[in-house]
Amino acid sequence: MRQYIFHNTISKRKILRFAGIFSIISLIGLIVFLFIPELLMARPGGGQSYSGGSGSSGGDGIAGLIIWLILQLPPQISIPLIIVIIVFYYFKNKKEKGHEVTIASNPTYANKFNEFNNIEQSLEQFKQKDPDFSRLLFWDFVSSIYHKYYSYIGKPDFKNIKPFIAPYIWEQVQNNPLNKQTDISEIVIGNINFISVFEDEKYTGIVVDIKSNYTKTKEGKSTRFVLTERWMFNRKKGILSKPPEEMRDLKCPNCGAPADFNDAGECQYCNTFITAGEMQWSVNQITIIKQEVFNTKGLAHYEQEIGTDYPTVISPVINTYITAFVQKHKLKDWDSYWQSFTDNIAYKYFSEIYDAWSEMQWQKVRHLLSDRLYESYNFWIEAYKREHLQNRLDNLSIKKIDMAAIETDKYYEAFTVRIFASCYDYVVNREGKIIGGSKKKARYFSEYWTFMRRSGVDFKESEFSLHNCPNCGAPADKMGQAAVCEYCGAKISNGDFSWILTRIVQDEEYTS
Amino acid sequence: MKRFDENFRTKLYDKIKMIEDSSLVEIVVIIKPASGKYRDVPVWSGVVFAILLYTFFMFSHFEFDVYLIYAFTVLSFFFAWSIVAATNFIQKIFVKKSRKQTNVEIKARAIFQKGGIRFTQERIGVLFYVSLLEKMVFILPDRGAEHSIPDEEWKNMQAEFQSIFKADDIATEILHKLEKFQAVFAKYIPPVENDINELPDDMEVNL
Repeated sequence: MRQYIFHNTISKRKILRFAGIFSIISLIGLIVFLFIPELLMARPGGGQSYSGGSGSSGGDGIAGLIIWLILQLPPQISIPLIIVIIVFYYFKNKKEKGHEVTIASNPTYANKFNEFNNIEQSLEQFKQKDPDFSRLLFWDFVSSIYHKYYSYIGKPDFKNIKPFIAPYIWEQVQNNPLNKQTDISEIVIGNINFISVFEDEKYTGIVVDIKSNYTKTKEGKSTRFVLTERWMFNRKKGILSKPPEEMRDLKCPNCGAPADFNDAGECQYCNTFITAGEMQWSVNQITIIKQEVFNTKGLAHYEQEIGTDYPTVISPVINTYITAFVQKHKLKDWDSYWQSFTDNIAYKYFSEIYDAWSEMQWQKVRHLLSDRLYESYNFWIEAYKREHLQNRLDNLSIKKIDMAAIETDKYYEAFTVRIFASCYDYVVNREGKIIGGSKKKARYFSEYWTFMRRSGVDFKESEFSLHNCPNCGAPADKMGQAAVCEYCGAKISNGDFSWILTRIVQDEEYTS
Repeated sequence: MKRFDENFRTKLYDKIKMIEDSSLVEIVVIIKPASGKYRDVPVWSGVVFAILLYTFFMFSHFEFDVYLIYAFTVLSFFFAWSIVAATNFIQKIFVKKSRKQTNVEIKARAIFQKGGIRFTQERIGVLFYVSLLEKMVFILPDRGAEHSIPDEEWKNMQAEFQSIFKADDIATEILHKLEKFQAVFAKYIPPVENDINELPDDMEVNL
């Protein structure tokens, strides 16, 4: 035992007490220091990246190592070692957690919910004035004009969209010499969200957020961008929405012929000059609110799942629509229909589509998806393929399905359900090594899925087969990219024959 | 940061929406626990404490084992370092005001840049930045907003906003001040027809 030399016994006692207190305080200091990062950075900014599918916090390991060092080594070695370890751990932890807690004026769940209700109610009021308005067709119109706007930029065809964009936007695009040197291609629209609906003295307006990505090529070099854009559409107050064939593709709003206009906006078929917003929706403002260069590193990056515990966002007018749906289809009761829908449509589509995603065989479910959804997810599958990666979703298990919204209009019926599920979600590389996610820890999540079909389609959900063409009953194995059945020639992805999945939104993003 | 709970954030968003409904301005409020690291303060505290203790060991009339001197000197450095690192109060005392101001300004400008607040067509984004450790605020307007509102009003707003730290409840005070500024923005940057929010709702501001 080590000997300590003291001058006298009273002093020795004092010194021992001093040493004891100091040791306790130092130990507390050690513990405080060890946990400082946790105290300061309890919410590190929302995300973790996983690698190798394993993860353990270093806290327990460090504590065990320190105790072992204290017990096994003499203090002259153990103490400096412990200090080095703690300092190393402190800085490592700080570097890993990286971010501090930041309070930003971003909307909370309550704000989003209020806005959702406001938008839903505004849309309902708008539909009272324009009974021909269909949300799904409006999305189609937005997609169509978005595609054409970007693919025609800098090309002579840009004149064909003159009646659908405000004159000042047309001028800006035409007068920008850089546009002539740029080519935009591979335009993929992810989601379209309604932001607001408004009316002024002359016009009715709708603002939407469009999440998209496209490739910009300049002087032979291409860059892929991921964007969120806010587009404002308006049209003269009091006019009614156009039928599906004039909303899905750009047509002359006067004669219905395919869009073919001259620089002055004159239709080459009916020779009518079309002014933007007079007869059809037109783009009145375009704002890019987010733009990033697409980075394939994100394919194996996993964010912490948020929003799964949020309450389901239910449309404020759902009961009105349920009643209308029951009456329209002469159903005995809603509950048994809902049960049949979840069992035969929602459950089956979810499993089938997730399987196709996991196997990277997106074409297998082409007949179950709308064109936009197919293109949007196909882009990601192709991105995985290019990087020789695969996103595996094993042991998929559906926990429950909640009804979120029903909407019927003159042309379509749409059901939005929230599906709660879990699976082992991970990304493997060419060698089969897990480079993101986990094969051991199930990931719980929920998503809002919107199914739609043409109004008037009436068949028993229980008789529906996932693997056959809903029109002719032939195997759904020859649908092609456009979802046209090779056996009967019918286009399936418009929802004209059966339910089609048209939208997938993550729970934390679902607003409308 | 507990006082800035979900309820506060909901009210903050609503308050900003209210301002933006009556003005063309685009407001972003960011609250951070600190703008600088000030790692040198705990280090220097540790060094000073260790030297003091070492001096005590050296010149005390008691005799100490050499291992005890070594271990306690090292430990004292670490002890003082950890205490100061965990205590904002001591850091606040030891850091110069000018250094704190610089850090707050740098952080605010970085957030302004990274958050994309400059991406409004009329350049009317305004960042209200609050840094708690330094007890400082920084209002950073974009070019359009800066030109639209007289300098005197900006100075008044800065002074007024800085006074949130005098209140017991900073969270509520921030909301009060923003409410007060609504009239200024409405007066100098009035709304235009069909104005749309040009900044993303979920802004990424972690640096």
